Parts: sequence; C-alpha cells; structure tokens
Amino acid sequence: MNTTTQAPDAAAERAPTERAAAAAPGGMAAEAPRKAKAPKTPKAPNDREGFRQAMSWLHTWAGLILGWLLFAIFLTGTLSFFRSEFNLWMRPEMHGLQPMDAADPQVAQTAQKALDALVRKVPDVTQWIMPLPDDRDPAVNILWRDTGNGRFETLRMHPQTGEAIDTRQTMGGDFFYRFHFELRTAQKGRWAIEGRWVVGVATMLMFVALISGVITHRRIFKDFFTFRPTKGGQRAWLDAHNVTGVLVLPFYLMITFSGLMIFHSLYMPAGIATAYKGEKGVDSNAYFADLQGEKAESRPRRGATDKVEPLPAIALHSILTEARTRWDGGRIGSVQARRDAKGRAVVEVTRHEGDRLQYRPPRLLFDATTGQWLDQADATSPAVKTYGVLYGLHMARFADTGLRWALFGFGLLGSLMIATGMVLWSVKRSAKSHTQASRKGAANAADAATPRAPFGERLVAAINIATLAGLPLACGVYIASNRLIPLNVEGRADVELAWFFSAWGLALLWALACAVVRPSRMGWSVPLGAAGLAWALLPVINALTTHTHLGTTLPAGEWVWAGMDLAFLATGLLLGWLSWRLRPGRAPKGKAAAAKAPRTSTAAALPTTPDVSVSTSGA
Amino acid sequence: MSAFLLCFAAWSAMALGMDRHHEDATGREGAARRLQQLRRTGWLLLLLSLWLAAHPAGGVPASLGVTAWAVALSVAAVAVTATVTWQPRRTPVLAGVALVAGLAAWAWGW
Repeated sequence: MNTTTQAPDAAAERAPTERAAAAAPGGMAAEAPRKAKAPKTPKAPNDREGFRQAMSWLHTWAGLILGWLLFAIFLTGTLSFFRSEFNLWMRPEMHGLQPMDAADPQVAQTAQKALDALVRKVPDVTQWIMPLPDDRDPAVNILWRDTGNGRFETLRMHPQTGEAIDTRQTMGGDFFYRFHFELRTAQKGRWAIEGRWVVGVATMLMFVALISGVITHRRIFKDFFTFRPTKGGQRAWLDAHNVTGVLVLPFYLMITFSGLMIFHSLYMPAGIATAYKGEKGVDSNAYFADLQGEKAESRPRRGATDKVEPLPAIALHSILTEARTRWDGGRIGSVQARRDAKGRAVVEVTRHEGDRLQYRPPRLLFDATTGQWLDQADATSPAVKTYGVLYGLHMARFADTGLRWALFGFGLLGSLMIATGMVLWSVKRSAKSHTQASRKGAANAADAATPRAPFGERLVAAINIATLAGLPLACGVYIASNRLIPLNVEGRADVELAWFFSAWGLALLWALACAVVRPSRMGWSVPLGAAGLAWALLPVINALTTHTHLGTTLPAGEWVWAGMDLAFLATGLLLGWLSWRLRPGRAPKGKAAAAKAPRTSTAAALPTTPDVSVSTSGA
Repeated sequence: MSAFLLCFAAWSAMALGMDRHHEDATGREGAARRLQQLRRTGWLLLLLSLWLAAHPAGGVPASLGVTAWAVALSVAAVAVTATVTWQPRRTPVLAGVALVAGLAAWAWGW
C-alpha cells in the first residue's frame, strides 16, 4: 500500500476536481499516475497501476450495463429469504394454523391424514410430493398429478384435520423468488430458460464487477472501517459504496458464485456432454442422478401422455417412524411417492433441509406396499458435496431466524452497494462536467449558467430513479394488490403481477419525464414518497381487509404475522424519510459547491444529499 | 451470538489499531508499537472466535457453526464501522464489554 503524505481528508476534498484536472497539464500532473481512477493518464508508470486502471474501467462499465437488473435481482432475491413468510402473509386464509416442530413424531399422523384426504379427492393419483409442515410453513402442501409426466397440481391442507384450505390465488413470495432467477412475469412460467440466461449474464457481470472492484479499491485495508457521511458529495457516496462493498464481501462472492453454479448445467453443458456420452447422445439423466446421489434408473423417463398405474394404498406411519430411527431422530422434511422405472411403487422420505448445510438432504427409499426399507440416496463424492454446500449456502435453508435476518440485512447492503455504485457513476460525471463547465464559463458565461448534462447521463439518471426508487414502489404495490384485488377475479395471481409491473412502468415514465425531458429535483422524492406511502399503508390495508392485522396478531403473539406488518411499516417509514430528505427545495447541506451549482444539472443526476447512505447501518 | 460479540471485539481492536480511528477514539495519536499490539490482538481474537465457532455445543454440525461465524464476521464489521463513525469515543468500552459478554455467551453455550 502506498503511504500518502497528505492527510487523507484533504485528498478526499480535492478528489473530484483533481480527477478532472488530472488530464490537464499543470499542478496536479504529478498526482495523476497515482490516482487509479484518473480518466486519462498519459503513461502508466508501472504495470500495476495500468492494470488497476483497466480494472477500474471494467468495474465501471460491467457495473453500469446490467447494474439495474442486478439491483432488481439482488433485492427480490433478498426478499426471497422470507419467501415462506410472504407466502403465509399473502394467504390470510391460512391464519390460525399452528406452526409445527418437524421433530415432533406427530408429523407422521399429519402426513397420513393428508394422504388419505388426497386419495379421497384423487383416487388414481400416480405421484405426489408432500413437504411436511414445520416451524416456518404450517400447512401441508401436496403437489400431485394423475398423469405420467404432466404438470403438478397443488393442494393445501389443514395439518390437524386434513381439510383442504381454500386460499386466494396469488404467487405470494414465490414471485420474488421466481423473478430473481428467471425474471418470471406470469404465474405459469414463460420464457423461463431465456430469463435464466439473462440472469446468468448479469450474475457473471456481477462477479466481474466484484473482483475488479476489489482490485480497483486502492485503500481497501486502510479505509476498512471508514465511512464519512458528513463529508458530502462524491466522497460520502464512495465511502458508502466501499463500506457496503467490502465489509460484506464474503457474502457477495458466495451468493454470486453459488448463483452461477446452481444453473451450471444450463450455462456450461459442455462438461456433461463430454463425460456422459451414452449410446443415444448425451445421457443427462445419468448426470442428474449422480448429482443427486441416486441410481440412474430410479427416475423413469416418461412422455406426457404415457399411462401410469395409480399408486397403491400406503401406510405412512411405520415408514416415517423407521426413517426417524435410521436418522437418529433427525427431522423429516418431506415425503413423496411415485412409481420408479420398473413400475414399482416407492416412497421417498427426505430429511429436513435445516439439518445440514449441504443442499439436497439425504433420502430414504421404501417399498410403498410392504413398507420395506430399500436404499438411502445421498450424494457423497467430493465434487457433488462441494456443489451441494454452495447450493445450500445460496438457499440458506439452514438458517434460523437470527441468521436469516442477518442474511437479509446482507442482501439489503448488497442492494445498497449496487445502488450507491449506480449513483456514484452519475455523481462523478456531473462533478466532472461541472469543473469543465466552470472552466469554460470564463469564456462563455451564458453557456456555463445552464449546463445541460449529455443525453446519456440524463438517461442513466432516469433509469436509476426508475429502478432504485421504482422497484421498492412496485414491490409495495404488489403486496398491497394482494389485499385489494377482489378474490373472485379471473386469473387473480396474474392481475397482482400486472399491478407490480404497472407500478414499475409508471415509475419509469415518471423518471424519464423528470430526468431526461425536463430535469427536476422531483424525480427522486416523488416515487420514493409513493413507495414509502405504499409500504406504510400495508398494515392499514391489511387491517381493513383481513382479520390477520396487528390488532389481533400482536396480542396473540403471532410474530410471523405481526413481524411482517411491522417490517412493512418500518420499510415505509425508511422510504418516506429518504423521500423527505430528497424533497425539492431542500438545499443539500453537504457540499457547498453542489448547493451553489445550477439546479438543473445536479438535479437530474443525483440526490445530492449524502446522508442517504446513513441507511446502510439501518439495514 | 458469542461469535458476533467476539468478532465485534476483534474488529474494534483492529480499528483502534489504525491511526485515524485511534485518534478519533482516544483523542491522541497512538504509538506505533501500541497500534501494532492492538492489531495483533484483533487477529488473535478473530482466530479464537473462529476456533470456538468450529467447535459448537449441542450437536450442531461444525459446518453450520463456521457458516454462522462467517455471517457474524460481516455483521460485526458493519457494527464496528457504525460505532467508529457515530460513537468513536465509546469504541474501546464497547469492545471490552463485547469481549467479556462474548466469552460469557460462549460459556453459556449461546
């Protein structure tokens, strides 16, 4: 690390102008090679700085191109940590079900009751998957089909009575989850593969931006704990970006890399094609069987119209009891039954995902008719184990409440890191054009009085607003729509999504109007204020439309329900506070230069108030 | 929990071992030797907390313990950054409290 002779603060104050001046011959020229981000260094004095500069360029543009998409992926992915809770909250009909301890032996009776109810409803069911209720999801959700290879239907049941629960049509938290890895736009998926490819490219760029960012950050250890929100302007934004980036870096690297790895078979099929050559082309079935630690023949290949014999009557109780003994009292996560390739009916018992880090828990196979134990399926090879651990880290099914909130906080910090990075791009450019404008101003005073940012910068500013403020708005509207849309509307789940995308689209139109067409400071505060209002009103809307509001859930100590309402309220207040800080007419106190600057130019590019980044600690 | 508290103490020691934060916290410049000692203490505390996390009590697999430690590591770093930013004077006291509480929490099996 180079040791700076001057006080770091002084350097920070000067940084923006210095960078602009570095290209010009004169006083600062000696500084230029040392500034990694100086725009035009004539000659790199050594390779390291040249490399760093190249990385800086890469970081800037890799970050910018898909940064907005990344922000959306990161934020919805973060919300997905609470997918079960969203699923529950958005189906108030499920209120009153008692969360179950998956270690409770009673689970076996619950499973049997649910299965009986399913068989009564669908006598010739050929396959079913039943995740058992646990402390996060109190209902029994059965996926079933009575075809050979058709779509699964879902049935929700009361764990004690086995009665079907009639819930409203909604995607619930699954929408955030689906959107974050395949950009799902409708309940029945469309363009799923294309969406996964787009997300994959964005994730790859995220990975590039992370690594190049570490290289670019010159003072990574010196500035490790440094955050100076009062310094104002670019310095505060850069500090916020660095702090949110560096402190939680292990999480970002893990989540990005594992995110790429989860879809490795889609992104990099060449390895499978080489190693799993069968007689009839690539035998990817064998590969996936290996990945899951199963025998290749256990999963039959069937066409959608193939006839399959219905399952026989199954006595689950003894099977589940034996599974528990074999696992030394370990928790049972789910049970399923199907016919294997030979036509034999088998029951597969899966251990609870919270019992270990590695994803895809061990499974026990039983003969469905006799209840005889057949086999244990569990991936044991080092490569598959490594993959399973990465997968498990990404899904965080192992996390208890405290850990889950911590990971959620990391996700928010990551979103903030991306957001501050995007804003920084604008701040930097507007600071630069300022210095240039004021230098030109001597020659042409009229021109300097109303500098107008180039179209590209205004466009970036607009999309910044549309994404960074528009997405929280859209999420709030989506959750509100869950309570506001009448229950009997045709295709209700898709109508909710229509609300989501309309709100986002409106935010984009607003942003284009405010940043590109006619720059004004309203750009940020209005959508943020609307988002704050939407989130803060959620508990109110909830109280007006359901019985699962704070008035009943708080006294009853139902923290899963009450916690959601309280978190919505907190989000609303936070967004509202941001909007208030960025309201028009409030002179930014941080940087004198920015305050003196003509309103039009700064307004379009940035919410000049540096204190916004204070929220990093609140996350 | 103990991992978080110990990491907090460790990161605080490291922050206090840096010129700028040492001055913010104590009001005077620290001697180079003292700063180095503080930084070393910080590293040792981090290693200690990792070792403790790798030997969790109550049948929890070590893999989960270490994962929780990695999370605690980042949370503590964020907490220390917040402390040196807004409460620099209280950093040494908080670090001491965190160290004692962390050891107590570990002894209680938290």
